[in-house]
Amino acid sequence: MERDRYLEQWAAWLPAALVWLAQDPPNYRDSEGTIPKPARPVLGIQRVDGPLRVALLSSSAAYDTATQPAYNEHCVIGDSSWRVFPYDLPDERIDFAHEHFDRAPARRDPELVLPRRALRATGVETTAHAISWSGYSMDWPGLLHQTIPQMVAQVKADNANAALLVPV
Amino acid sequence: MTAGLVVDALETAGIPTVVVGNQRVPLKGLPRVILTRYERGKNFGEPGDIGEHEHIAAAAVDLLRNATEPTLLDLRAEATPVR
Repeated sequence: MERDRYLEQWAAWLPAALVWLAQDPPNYRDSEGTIPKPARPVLGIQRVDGPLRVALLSSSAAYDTATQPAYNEHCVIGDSSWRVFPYDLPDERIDFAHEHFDRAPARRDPELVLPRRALRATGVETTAHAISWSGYSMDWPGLLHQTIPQMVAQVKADNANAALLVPV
Repeated sequence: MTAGLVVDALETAGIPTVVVGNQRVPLKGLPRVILTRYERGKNFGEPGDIGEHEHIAAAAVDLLRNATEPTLLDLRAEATPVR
């Protein structure tokens, strides 16, 4: 196994972060503000030739209440898992397990953070699924090595050639 | 903050992205960003405001179709539409 320099940086950051997060109220400013950032790729602007087929991803921690467990809102470093559910899942089946935003408006109208009808109304083709993750996760190694590659694989399996992201 | 990680992975995989958010700092440097004037958890506007939801979605799709360079479209100064 090769050394994972980013994982080492994150592990070194974690003890101090856990102390900040254990404060009442949790000190998100210092913990989030100092989390090690992975190197960013250098990317130009990419164009899509032909009709758009757009994947929809939201960090609102949306989930299907009938078939999926809620995200863990009580773990001090958040939840790095993800969910995929049918794009046309009825609104009443959707809930949000993310306590860092006022969920009442989105519970009344999921379009605010999961704009399925609005995206389709633009005339683009949409994928068969919507994807969610929890915007509150300090487990960046888990996100980088597991969650995000799995979400990208789902987007590709859904034959999307573009993606709309709604961070919450 | 985690949206940037997802954007980087999707773009690296050859999938262009557009982000509709309302917090400027965590979205800096991403290829296509729209900032709306609504508070956290209401990125596309108020509940039931279908016209506004579709307006923002159309702006996002327009960036996907037509942006030729990294673009941050700031909709926060838009006047409240009269309906």
